[in-house]
Amino acid sequence: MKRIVRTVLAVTLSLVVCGIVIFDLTIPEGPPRPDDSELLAAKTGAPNLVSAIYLGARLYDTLFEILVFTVAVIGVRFYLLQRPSTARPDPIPESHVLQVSAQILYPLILILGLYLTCFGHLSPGGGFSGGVVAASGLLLCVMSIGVDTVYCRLSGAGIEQLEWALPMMIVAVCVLPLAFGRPILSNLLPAGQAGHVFGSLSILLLNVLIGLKVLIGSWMVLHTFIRHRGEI
Amino acid sequence: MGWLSGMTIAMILFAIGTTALIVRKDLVVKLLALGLVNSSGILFLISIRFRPQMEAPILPVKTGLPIADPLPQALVLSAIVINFAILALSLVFVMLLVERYHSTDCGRIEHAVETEKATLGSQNLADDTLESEVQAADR
Repeated sequence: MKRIVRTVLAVTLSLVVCGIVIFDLTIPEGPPRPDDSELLAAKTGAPNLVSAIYLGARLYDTLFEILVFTVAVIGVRFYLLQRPSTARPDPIPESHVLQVSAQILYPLILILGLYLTCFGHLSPGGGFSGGVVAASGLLLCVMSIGVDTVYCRLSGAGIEQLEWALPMMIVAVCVLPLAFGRPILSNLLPAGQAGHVFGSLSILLLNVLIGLKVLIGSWMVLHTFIRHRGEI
Repeated sequence: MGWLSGMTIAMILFAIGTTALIVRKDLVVKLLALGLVNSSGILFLISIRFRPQMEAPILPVKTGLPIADPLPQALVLSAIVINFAILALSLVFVMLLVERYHSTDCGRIEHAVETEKATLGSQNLADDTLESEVQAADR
């Protein structure tokens, strides 16, 4: 009986919310005016308007997005590092086919992530998606050569210090225009010819920093989940 | 099939996700439903300002067609990242709960918490009575 009441309640609630959205949302018709978009692209030097918005006109949003991501990584590590680490995690019995194909695929996927990150202002992509693609390549690497090896190599490269330095560097890129007499959160480096890879250096710089940040953050979450998964 | 657009699909997904979020008792299924609700929100925001005959918002547009509005797409990027952050953090909390109560059923966890509270309360009560007896004996 209780279950039926709950189901009816849930269906009604979802239908009511959907109804409010359907009948109450007045959508202004029409795409943005072309001169607006061309102005934005010329100002930032990025033909991809989505990049031009989230790394140019609305950089403030992106800054806090990175803050949320950093806080989530800190939270995951804070709660899971208190757990006893799985002493010697049994290697997941992968089939030989998966191991070999992962070994072939992971460099390609890492390069694809790098490409998406560096060309985010010209074509679909950007730091966030490129970072996640590279992190999935890292996961394939873990599947092929084992989590401890990858962890040792990456810690040797100082990845943990870089994880905390990157948000500071992104904030510095956003604040540094003040030193040159320009408003805060404006382009650090001048916009060049739109459509060129180095046409908008500041967006390229931000994309690379964000891509690294997302890659390292996702790797930290993955590694913490693998090592501290606890015993049930 | 004119009604079958991104917005209607997003609303159907939202209804399914909300129903599952309320009805199902398993915490992991609840998290999956939360992800479904989030994805439906993303689909909805994207398809608000997109029509099938529009181009992607990357200049220059060679075909001369109108471009989709890039603003919702830029905003949805934050939604995706925050979705990831929420899912990772709540998975950690579910792991902690499972480690302590050995169940992902929220009814059972609630029951276990109630029992734990009751035993703690009775212990405290026993301690209090013991203390007052000791004080009375002192007097």
